[in-house]
This record gives sequence, C-alpha cells and structure tokens, in this order.
Amino acid sequence: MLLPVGPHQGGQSLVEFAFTIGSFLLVLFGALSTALYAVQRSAAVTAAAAGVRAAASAQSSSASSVDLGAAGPLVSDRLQPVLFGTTLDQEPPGTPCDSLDSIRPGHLEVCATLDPTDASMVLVVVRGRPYDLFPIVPLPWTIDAPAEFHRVTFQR
Amino acid sequence: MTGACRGCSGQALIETAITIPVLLTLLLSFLLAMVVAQAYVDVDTATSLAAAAAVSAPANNDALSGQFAQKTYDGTLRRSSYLEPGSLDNCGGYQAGGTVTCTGHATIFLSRTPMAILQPLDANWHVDIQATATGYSSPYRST
Repeated sequence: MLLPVGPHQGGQSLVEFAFTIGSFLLVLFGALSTALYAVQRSAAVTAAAAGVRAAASAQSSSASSVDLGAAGPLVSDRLQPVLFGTTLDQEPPGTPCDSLDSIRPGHLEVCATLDPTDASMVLVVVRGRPYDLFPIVPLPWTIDAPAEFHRVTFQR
Repeated sequence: MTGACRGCSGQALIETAITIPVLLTLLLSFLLAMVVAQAYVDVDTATSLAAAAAVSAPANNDALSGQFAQKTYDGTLRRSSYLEPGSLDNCGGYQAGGTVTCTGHATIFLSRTPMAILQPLDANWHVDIQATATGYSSPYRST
C-alpha cells in the first residue's frame, strides 16, 4: 500500500541526501588527494635517488670531492611536473633540511649533505609539506624521502 | 495519513550506522593501498641504489662491494617509522664488466600506521616485501 508523503518526509530526504552526498564527496576527494600524494611521493623518492647518484660523483674540477651542488637542479627537474602548486626550495649544498615541523605547508626542500654519522656516505633528502589541492579533506600529507649513496671519488 | 511513520527514525539510524563504517573502511583501504605501494617504491629504489653502489666499489673486492651496498640500502630506508630494512642478498663482489643482482628485503609494520584500526586484534600487523635490481659495472673498472 502506497502512503502519501508527509510534510516532514521531504525534509528528511533532503537531510539524508545531504549526508550521503557529503560522505561520498569526502571519500572521493580523499581518494583523489591520496592518489596525488602517492604520485608526488613516488616522484620525490626517485628524484632523491637520481640526485644522490649525481651528488656522490666526483666534481669535474676535483676528483677527490663530491659534487653536492649537482643534486638540487636534478631533483628539481624530476619533480617539476608533479609539484601541483608546491614550491620547491633548494638548500645550499652541505646545508641539512629543516625539520618537518618548521617547513611551511606548500613547500618542499631539497638538501644534499654528507651523512653526519658517516662521512663516506652522501645524503640527499626531499622533505616538506606538499600543497593541499583538496582542503576540504585536510589529510596531513608530508614527504620525507631520503636517499644515500657511497661517495664515488678518486685519489691518485 | 500524514506525519512521520513509526520506526523511520530508527531505520535512518541503522542506515547511518552501516554507511559510515563502510565509508571509513573504504577510505582507510585507499590509504592502506597507498602505503603498501609507497613502501614498494622505497624498497625498489633502495635496492637499485644498493646494486649501483656495489658496482662502484673496486672490482674483485667482495667485502668492500658488499659494504657499499649494505650502507646504501640501510641509509636509504632507515628513516621510515613503519618500514624496516631487512637483509640484502647477493649484493657482493663482481668482476670488471660483470653485473651484480641484489635482492632487498623489508618489512612494513602496518600496526604503526593509522590503518591499524582495520586489524585491531593484530598488534604486530606487518607485510614482508622484496625487490630485485641489477647493477652493471664498467669493463674498465680497476681492482
């Protein structure tokens, strides 16, 4: 038996629809945000790996010194297509990255240093807080992608 | 007949009680897949670097080649809170012009991530992963 719609039932449908569409959009944008972050982080990991191999190589002017300055531009080239509004800051060679807490949202840092615990190892880190394209889903995305490589220098 | 039907508010409550956990599980599953995929990327990258480091040591020097590889592998993976590096197999010496094929192992401790609520009864929820990479040495590499 079909019942006529009461005066309150139209409002109830509206509220239910609002909850449903709200939840659906939350999951949809959450998934999109997750996918974009995964792309950015993967690129950061592979960029750091490429950067550390360049930084661990000898300088053209000195076969016994590592070329820490080579990492920044290389990492920047690799990351540029997937920054999605994030600003990439290249730290001077030998300067360690700031802690995650002190890096502003929307910024990533690239730093190339010798490993403080083992000077035979070169360390390149991409660290920061990527720009949030979907602020309605405030997921606390951070990137901290280190890569280490044994220095490849030569001595006569 | 007009007005709210008897039991309708209870029905809405049950619908919500079913829908919200399903949506949360769906969202956490996306995150879980992302975490595992990212861990694979990390281990694959660390193993590739280790293989490259192994062939950057002087040729025919098993100990130094293995040491270069191990330090590279551990150094690349050690900073993660939920991914612990394991053993690095077959990443040793080589002859000039030869190759080194390394297999890196690692463990993702999902129990240390927010996704742990998907497995509340397993305090040590983890997944073992591995990756293989090959490093190619120069035929002119000195010993």
